[in-house]
This record gives sequence, C-alpha cells and structure tokens, in this order.
Amino acid sequence: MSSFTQTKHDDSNDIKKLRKEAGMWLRSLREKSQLSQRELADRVDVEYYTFISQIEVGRGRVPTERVEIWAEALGEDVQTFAKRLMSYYDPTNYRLVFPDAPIHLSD
Amino acid sequence: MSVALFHKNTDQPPKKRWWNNQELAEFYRVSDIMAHAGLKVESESGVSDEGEPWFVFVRADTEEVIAHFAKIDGVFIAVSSVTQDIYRGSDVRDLINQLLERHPLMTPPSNNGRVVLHPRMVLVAFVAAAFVAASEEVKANTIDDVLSAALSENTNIKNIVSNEIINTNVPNSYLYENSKVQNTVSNETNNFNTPDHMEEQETNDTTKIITNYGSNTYSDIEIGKQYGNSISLISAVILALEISSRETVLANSQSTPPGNYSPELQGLFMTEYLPVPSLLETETIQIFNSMDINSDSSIENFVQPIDSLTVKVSLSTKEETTSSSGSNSEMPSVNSSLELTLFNSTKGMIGSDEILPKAKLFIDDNIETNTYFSKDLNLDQINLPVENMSIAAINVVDLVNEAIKNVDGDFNETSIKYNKIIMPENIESYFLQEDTAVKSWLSLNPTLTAQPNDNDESLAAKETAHNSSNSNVSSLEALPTLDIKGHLLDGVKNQEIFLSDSIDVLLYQSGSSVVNGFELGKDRIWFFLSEDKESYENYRITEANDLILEFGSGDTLTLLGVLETENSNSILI
Repeated sequence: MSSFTQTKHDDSNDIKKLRKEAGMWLRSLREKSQLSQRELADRVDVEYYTFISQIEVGRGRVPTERVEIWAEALGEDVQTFAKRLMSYYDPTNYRLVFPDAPIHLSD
Repeated sequence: MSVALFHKNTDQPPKKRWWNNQELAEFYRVSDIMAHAGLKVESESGVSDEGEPWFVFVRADTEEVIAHFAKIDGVFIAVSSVTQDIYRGSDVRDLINQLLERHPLMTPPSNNGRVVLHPRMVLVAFVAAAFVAASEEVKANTIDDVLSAALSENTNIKNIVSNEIINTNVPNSYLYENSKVQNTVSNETNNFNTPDHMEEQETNDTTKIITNYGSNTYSDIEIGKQYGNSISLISAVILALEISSRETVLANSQSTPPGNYSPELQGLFMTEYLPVPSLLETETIQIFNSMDINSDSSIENFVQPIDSLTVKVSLSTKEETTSSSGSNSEMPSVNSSLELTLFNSTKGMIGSDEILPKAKLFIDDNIETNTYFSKDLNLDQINLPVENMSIAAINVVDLVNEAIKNVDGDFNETSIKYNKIIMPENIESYFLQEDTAVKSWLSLNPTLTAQPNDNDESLAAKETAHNSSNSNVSSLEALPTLDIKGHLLDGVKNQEIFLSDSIDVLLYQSGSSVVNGFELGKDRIWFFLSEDKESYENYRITEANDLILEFGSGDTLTLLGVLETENSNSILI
C-alpha cells in the first residue's frame, strides 16, 4: 500500500488529536513571534488568513510544499520544524525514520 | 429561493460577526445532501483572532479539508482547499454568479443535454466537486473536469484497446495524469516488457513515481480499482446533484412557514429524488416547482422557450381532493390536467404567433398500465396525482423537446420520443417501503419523527435543527452512508453486469449491455451520448418484464426483469 494512502488507515481520532496538537504548537510559535494570524498569512503567502485559524484549531495541515516558508515565517530552524510537523502529520513514517525519537514532541 | 445577503459597507469598517442561522443552514444543507449521496463530510467552524468567521468541510475518511468558507473584511470567500481556487464575492449571490461564470457546465446552455443546476445548488456542487478533487483517484480541478473525466478516461481506454497501442507516451491513466499534489506520473520508461502492473518507486517521503506500461495497464487490477473508484465518485457527485434538484422544491417554498408545508409538498420532499433537470432553463424549473406547491391555484401558466418555438403549458388543478389509487388511500391527491400548446415564436410575441398543431399529452394514471406517459392527440386532459407533478412536468417538457426536434408539421406516434418513463405507483407506499435512504435516516433521527403521522412537524423539526445549531462541530455520523457504485457502459464489448444492493449508477455511453438487478427508483441511468444522439430511439417491454432501450446504432440496453418490482416507480434519466 502506498504511503500516501496510509492516512486513510490511521485511526481517525488519532489524526484529529495529533492535528490539534500541531495546531496548538503552531499557535504558540506564532504568538511567540508576536504575529497576528493575518501577518503570518502574509508571510506564508496565504490569501485568506482564516486558513491560519483553521490550522491552529487542528483542521487540515500545513501543506508539505509550504513547510519551509512556514518555518522561516515563524523564525524556526527548517529541519527541526519539519521534523516536528512530521511527527504530527505523518506519525507512521516518523516512527520509521526516527525510531529513537519520542512519538509526541510535546513541550 | 433562500440566499443570505451580505452587503459590504464601504463607509464604515465591516462588522465582525458570526455566521447567521441562515448561512449555517445553507452549509448544513450542503452536508446533508452530500451525506445522503454517500459523500460523507464533517464540518467545523471557528473565528479568527480578529473575530471573523470561517467554515470548513472535511472529508470524514481522510480528515482532509476540502472547502473553506470565510468572511474576511466583509467579503465572502470560498476556497477549494485542494485546488486553491479562491472565489470572492460581496455576498453569497455574487459568489454563486462567479462560480457559474467560471464553471460553464453549471450554466444552462441551449438544449445540449448538459447538467443544469439550480443556482441554490451551486454551493453543493462546489463542495461535491471539491470532495472529488480531493480524492486520490481523481485530481480534477472543477466539477466540469470531474464529469468529463469519465468520457476522457474512457476515450483513452478505447483508443488504446482498439489500436493496440503500446506506447509509453500514451496518457494511459487520466487519474494519475491529473495527480498534482502527491503523485508524479512518469511514463518515461524504456522497459516495454515490464509486467502489467504498476510499479511504484519511492523517491522520498512525499513523492511517488508511478510508471505505467502501455495497453496492458488496463487489464491491471490496480488500475481497474482506481478506474472503478473514480466512476463511483463521479456517480456520487451526480447523485448529489440529483438530490440537489429535489431540494429545488423546498427552495421555492420559503414563503411557507416551517410547519405549514402542504401535504403535497411534504409528499414531494419525501418522494424519490427528482432527476437533474437537464434541457431546462433554471427559471423554468422554479416555475415548475411553484406549480407543484400552488395547489390552491386553479390555473397556472408558464412558458418554456425552445429555440424558435415556444411551448405554453397550462396547468389546471381541480380543487377537489380525491384519494390516490393504491393501498394507501389517505395520501391526498389533486387531479390536475396539463395542456401543451406549441407556438412559433419567430414572428413575434406569443399570442400573435402562428399556432402549430397542439400537442396534448395523455398521462394515464391507471396502475394496470405499464406506461405512465403516453400520448394521444385526441385527448384533452391528463390526470395525475399532484405529488407526481414535479417529475411529470419535467418529463413532459423533455418529451416536447424531443418532439420539436423532429417536428414536420404534425405530431404523430413517431415524432415524440420518450425521454423518461415513469411507472404509475402510489408514491407513499413506495417511499415507505423502498426508499431506504429516507427510512433509515428517519429511524436514526427519532427526534425528527417524534410525532407520527405528522410529516409537517418532522420537516419543521429538521429545519429547526439546522437553523438553531449552536455546535461548532458537526458530524453527520447519524446519517446513513449510502454505498454508491458506478458502472460505465462504454461499448468496448458486450457487457452483462449484475447490480448490487448499493445505489448503482449506470453511465451509458455506447454498446449493447444487459443489466441484472436494476431497481427502479434506487438505481440510476445517465446517458453520455454523442452530440447526434439525444437519447434512445425506442423502447420496448418484453413479456418477461424486461425493458429494452434501443439506439439508432443498433445497440441496446436491456434491464432484465426491471418491471417485475411491485413498487416500481420511476426511471430517472
């Protein structure tokens, strides 16, 4: 089975829980950077800033191709940022790639 | 028609406010329709840090956001989350106009048989298309793409099969060809002898290289699964649009306070889905359905422009209420008559035009006869239960459309081709016994059926439930998830298929096919024919109760034993 369909087989509740955690983490980063949702949207080139609010409540995800620009907008190291997002958005592969890392990287 | 209006105030900063009940009702209605069509979505809403509202639809199976609505700085926006198409409008109406403009398929053209949507249903179509666009199997951009995918895909198959092409450059998978987000298609291979299944080569965490090999690909089971899935998805969208058209009835009933729906309207709401009213102008659709609910009026007239000809249809509804035929005699029915008169409108206004021979359609409501519609130029009136009126009226115009295209001065038996076949049956007994969607939905929502024998109340309860919802998270898990299977009859070879208990949608393009287990009312037939073919040319019913649709090419579509069902109601095409 292709990995891009893997999410279909993950438990829905786990996905929701992880995405909410991701949203809370992203919100904390934004607030630490003293950015409004509109300002962050401008920095990551999103035309409708309510998308930031949607992500922060755990609905949807940061698009893979936008991870780098998000990291830069939030003043985070790209690799560290991407690794942590991967733990939320793709936990199966995260465990395979980083077997020794904690499953949830809660602060 | 119920459309929430939001006016942008250019003099003062726009007020930040939550969605009002009407807006939420529109959103939840979209969810409701899609759930009934098997497109299970969840929804969630929230506010930004500036207090501006957003509302998203989420695919329940993948947790993927498919559509995002918001009001930002007083502007209403809609975003297809996968394609990132953004629509902005000053209000919902403006937004819908933009959708119609950018998606021509939704716009009612002249009689070319394409799908026509009631304006109110555009949001449903938008979300349904976004749902399909978010599928791994179909990465389409618009609903136009979605619906054309079936034909494009099929064309590729036929070309490859018939020409026995082994060419790695042939776009042998529309589905993967259109994948943009996570899949990369590569047909650039030198290995012509590769086994007849897809090979997948992982290059990194997020990108797949999928390589297909020539014509053999189409015998591959994996491609078959993908292909079948896409057809099912397309079928589901079509079904969603069919259900949307049923909602047109309610869209025209907004002047009626909830709880005061007439029995006739309630009957319409609960009966079988109306067909997508192709070939019709949306304004006419509204008038049709206004007729349906205006049972108090003695006469309603409307005009349907068709090319250079005009059909004037007069509806006469008798005040007396009689009992329907069949076992459920309590269902009120109003005997009505339809009279269709054709005008040549090329010379001027109606009334001064040359009147062509009248086409008067006789509708026999005798349950003993298998044909609901028949035609008899010598009969002046037709009688039909009012609860069938919407379906009947749409079909009548379709019939006349067909007749006009073949008019040679006279109307005769061969000049009118049947576009629809409706079997006489008591609607009430039908939907109570056979429409599992309605039945199961009601059984799962006891609060909406708290007062037996009072359908008005249950409908009102439904409306209230939508309008008064304060929950920011809505899951439609209580609604039944209907299994929908699509079957493409593409004429590559003679096909015999066996339908299931699911809602089966036959997408007929060409060829001779035999279909087992087609259930009237539940299953659907959609025709995708070449431009020179409007429909089948003739039909016949065998002694074995088989329905055989005959095409000019000599092809036939046979529905075995389809008329044996006691509760046969209609074939919606």
